[in-house]
Amino acid sequence: MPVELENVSYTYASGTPYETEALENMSLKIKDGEFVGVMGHTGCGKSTMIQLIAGLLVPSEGKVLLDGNDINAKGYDRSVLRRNVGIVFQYPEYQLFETTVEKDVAFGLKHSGLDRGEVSERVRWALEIMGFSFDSIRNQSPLSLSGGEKRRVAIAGVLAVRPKIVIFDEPIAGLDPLGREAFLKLISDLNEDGTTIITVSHNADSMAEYAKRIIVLDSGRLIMDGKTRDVFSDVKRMEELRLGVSQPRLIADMLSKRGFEMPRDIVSCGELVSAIKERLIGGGCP
Amino acid sequence: MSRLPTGQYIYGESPIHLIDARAKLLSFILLIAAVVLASSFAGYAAVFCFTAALLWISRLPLGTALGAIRRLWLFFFVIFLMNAFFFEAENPIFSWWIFRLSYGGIAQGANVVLRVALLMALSSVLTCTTTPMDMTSALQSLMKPLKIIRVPVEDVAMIISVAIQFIPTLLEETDMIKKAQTARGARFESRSLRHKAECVIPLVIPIFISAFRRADELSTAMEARGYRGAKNRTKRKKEPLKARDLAALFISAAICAVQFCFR
Repeated sequence: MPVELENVSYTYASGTPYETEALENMSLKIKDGEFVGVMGHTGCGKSTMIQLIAGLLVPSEGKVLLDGNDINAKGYDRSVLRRNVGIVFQYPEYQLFETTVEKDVAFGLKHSGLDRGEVSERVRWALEIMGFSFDSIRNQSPLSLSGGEKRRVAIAGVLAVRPKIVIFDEPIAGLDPLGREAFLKLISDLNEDGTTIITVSHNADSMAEYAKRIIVLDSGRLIMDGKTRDVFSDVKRMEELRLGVSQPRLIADMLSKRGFEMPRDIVSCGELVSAIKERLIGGGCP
Repeated sequence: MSRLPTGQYIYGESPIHLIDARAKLLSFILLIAAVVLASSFAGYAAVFCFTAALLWISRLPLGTALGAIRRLWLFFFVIFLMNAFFFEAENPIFSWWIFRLSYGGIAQGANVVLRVALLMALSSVLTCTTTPMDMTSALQSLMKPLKIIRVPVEDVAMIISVAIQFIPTLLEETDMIKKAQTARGARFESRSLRHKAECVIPLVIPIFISAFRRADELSTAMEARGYRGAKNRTKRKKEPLKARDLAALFISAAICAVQFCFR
């Protein structure tokens, strides 16, 4: 299910003294199975953009198309949108409200028309994917869990609907390094299974590692859009924008400077390791 | 929130913005009295013109400042009709069943509607030109006499100011949770009343939890910074009333007095 923004603009609080333009004439197409990292500084319009895609904001101008249909058109069936586009906000743990974990995760499936067995199966699947044992957690109160567990339960609640497109807003902020790694692995697995992933992040390293495509916003405009490798290889531009360069890239550059020649397009950790290996084994130690 | 709630402070540097909050609050009370006391056509014309002048001087954007009045048009309309048709007057223009339309009723309806609209306009001039902080410290100093009967005035003022400061935060959070639940399939967008009722719990419970969490964090933070009850707190800004403030009070008192004498 491809998503498309067509000349979309969005203005907050229009007609009041606090009017601000958050997005300006943005066009973008995201195809099935992509893993898109959205980067940019606070206030650049990232959050607005993902909320427009999820149909939670209505553009001031332009269209948002899901599978070719305008999601803000009059006759459009919004339940199609809700079933296919899931969004995980920053601090998703604040949205928990049910008495048991099982009920909370099943909330999104309430109106799906699935029978009880299927719902239960979906809930089990989502909780297990998030690293829980279904039988031991199903009857606990979501409010009695730890912060990290709450977050995983909340994400399970979004995944249980099995959306074709999942949007994450700063999913790894506030997680410890292990949790971060595990989480990124998980969304990358989802992506392997065919789910389109759109994720907002400030973390250049993890984006370089996992995302396949990077788009960069600045003051409501799309200023960079390309393969992760190409975007992160433009070290000069990324430093100018102060978005950071991935650590493996920096290490490769440092090695090159000291005479240990490295390829110029390294962005992720794996690439760095294999390039060093190849150099050591293939070319011998300098 | 893409739309601002009416009555929120709007930054400005007009004479009205600059009047001391204490003087503004007292003038507001006097002007309310003037509106309530007005009974003749001339009296209404006077308060109406004065309110319009205030709005003009304050340079507030009219759409925002009077938004509440516009949004309540149905309420005004119903009030007007009820007064017009049920007023006990002699020689009605026409009567049918329990309805009696009379000139007296129409006048009474216009009276009530105009009065409420004026009160709303005045209060939005007050709240749009005064920051919540100024307003609470004004309340605190105006409530001082209540200390004699052991009302904990400082604590009340602190509670009010904390509550006011949290309104935007909680509104923002409400908006976020509403969006998160909508994306999960809560039917906020549905027109059906039943669907809307179903959405109350997924919205209210998270907000409650978050309000308690914030209250907890705030109280810890306040104590960590040395808060030991509001008593004996000193103020950074201590300003006597200026000529401008006294003038505002004088004008409001004069209008009120004139209304009283010409009843």
